[in-house]
Amino acid sequence: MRILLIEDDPAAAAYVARGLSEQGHVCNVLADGTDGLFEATRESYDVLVVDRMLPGLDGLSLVRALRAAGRKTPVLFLTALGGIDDRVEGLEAGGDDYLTKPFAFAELLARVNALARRPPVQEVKTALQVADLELDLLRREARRAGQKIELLPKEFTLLEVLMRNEGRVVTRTMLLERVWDFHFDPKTSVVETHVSRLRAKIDKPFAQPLLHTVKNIGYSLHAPR
Amino acid sequence: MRPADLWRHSSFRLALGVSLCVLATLMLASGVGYGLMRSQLAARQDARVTEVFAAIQQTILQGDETDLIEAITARISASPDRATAYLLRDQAGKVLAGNIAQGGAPPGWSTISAARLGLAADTSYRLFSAAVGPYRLTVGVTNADLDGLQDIVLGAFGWAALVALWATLVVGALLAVQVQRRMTAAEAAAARVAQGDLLARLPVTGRGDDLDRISRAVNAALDRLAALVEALRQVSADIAHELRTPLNRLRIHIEEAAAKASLGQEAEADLAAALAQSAAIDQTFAALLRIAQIEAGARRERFAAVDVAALLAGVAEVYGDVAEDASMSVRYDGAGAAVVLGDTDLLTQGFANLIENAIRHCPTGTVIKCAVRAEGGDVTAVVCDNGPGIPADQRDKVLRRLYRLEKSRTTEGTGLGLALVKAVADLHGATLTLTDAAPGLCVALHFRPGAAPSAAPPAS
Repeated sequence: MRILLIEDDPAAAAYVARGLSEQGHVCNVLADGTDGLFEATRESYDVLVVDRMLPGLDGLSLVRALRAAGRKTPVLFLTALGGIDDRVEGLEAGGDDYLTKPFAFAELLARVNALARRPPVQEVKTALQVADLELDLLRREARRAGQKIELLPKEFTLLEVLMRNEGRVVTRTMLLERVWDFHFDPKTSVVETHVSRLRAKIDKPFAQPLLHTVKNIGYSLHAPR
Repeated sequence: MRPADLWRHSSFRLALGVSLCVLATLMLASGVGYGLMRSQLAARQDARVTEVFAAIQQTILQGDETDLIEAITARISASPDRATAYLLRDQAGKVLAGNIAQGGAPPGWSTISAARLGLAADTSYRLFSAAVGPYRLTVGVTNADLDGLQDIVLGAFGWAALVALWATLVVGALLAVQVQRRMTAAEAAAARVAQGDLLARLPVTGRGDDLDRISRAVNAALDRLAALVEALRQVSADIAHELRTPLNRLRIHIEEAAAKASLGQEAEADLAAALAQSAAIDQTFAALLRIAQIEAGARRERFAAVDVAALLAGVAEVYGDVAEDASMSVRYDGAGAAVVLGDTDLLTQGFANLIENAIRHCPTGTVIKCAVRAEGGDVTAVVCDNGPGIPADQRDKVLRRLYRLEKSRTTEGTGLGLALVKAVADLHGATLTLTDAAPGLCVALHFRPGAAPSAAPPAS
């Protein structure tokens, strides 16, 4: 995957670039907003990782200009501002996701992966399937090995998010945002509790577990390997 | 104060302007009054002349010339100052009697200067001449009274103007000095603020005049500014205090890891501890910043209609399983919607904090009850537990940043959960009350849609 990282902190940029390269991605780093916009418009990238505060041109203006130029490359904002409006501002400017510094590299990787595989035009899927687990989005029904599984509404959403990201790591924070719309860090084990309830329903009665815990990072749903 | 300075004062200029207007009005009024009085007086003079003329005419018609001359001579001697003028001539023009020179007064009414009548007085006469039988008679009265009236009116006006101008200067100067004194005080206060003393305030006399109103508005702005600066200062102090301890721990973990690594030992445990410590630092830091930003009030721009009942029910549902795992239960009672103007994200976090607080600080078996009531536009959201509660004397303190009950010191947590709820409540203009649920704690958020949210400057 070709990733353009526009970040002016050399230490952070080097760390992220090295990590992404180790994961098999091609990562270009630019430290200036104007250069970044030029490069993002000229070359074709799969994902842009853009810091909010940049010399030359700030991240928000960069993405606005990019979108105005008709480029739909997915953008992940990095922000050290820590402001509660950063997310909204970022999304309004045309960003697709945001991540607050300091972040764990695994979190960044999970989000970049999720962004990159996002279908260019959101195709309307009515059913999802991972191994023998099926999710009917129209009837709001889950089945495994043909057996119907009763799920609460939030459990259904949780499973849907995990299945849409089949084979990829979905972090705890991503689940909080996408399933519960929680944009803060709860002090109790909200995610763990609900994942364990879901696991009891979709995995426990069956021989092969599909929902796997990725230690200290999050969860991944995939067929047995 | 120099005169040039005086001129720069609006109050002085105002006083002068008003008094000039008054003088102009006075001048107009005097002019009209003078005109009226003069025409009145002139009419009376003419009447008198007519009267005297008629009397003499009567004598003439009685026929005896000697009597006539005597009568006129008697009249002349009765008016030694020549207030009344008489001249009797025969048809040839010879003067028979009179106290004025033959001025050649034309027949009918005329006004002729005293000099032309051979008199020394600096005035004029109003004369009436006509032929009566074989004589030509002229009777007149002096205009001295009219001239006097003019002198009186002009004099009175002049003096009045002089006094008024003088009074204006004095009063204007006094006013200017007084206003200047208040302005100087206000300037001094503003200068103190500019130098960093945010507690300085402009003086308010309590008279409720325009200066008072401006001072009050400036003071209100300063109050808000001081509160914001104080909040910022508080955050910096909190950060310094609250983050140095964990930073120190972080440093110890890293030093331990470095020491072990240099000895070729496994340092993984220390590094994991260091990571966990850095995550805790980040959490505290983020929570402090978030509270400060909520307090700044900019978030209010994004307010929209929120169904508090649905929101709290949803949050209660999310935590139902979490509580169950901790051998507690969360219940939501309430029916129907309860809509307020607010921020969904922040209200969600506020309710989550309340329920999490109960889960984290209460023993197993605790029942957490959530409810939303809507009464006549007012909306009250309540989160109650039957746990140990908070002592009455500490209920205010737990709303402060970083305050933690002694028994919670050892448990995890930033000590910012309730402070954030308080900040969210303030942002929404809602009242946050902590009461004894006997046993347990009841936290109520009371929204009054009619009440304006706490005063805040319209943020950028």
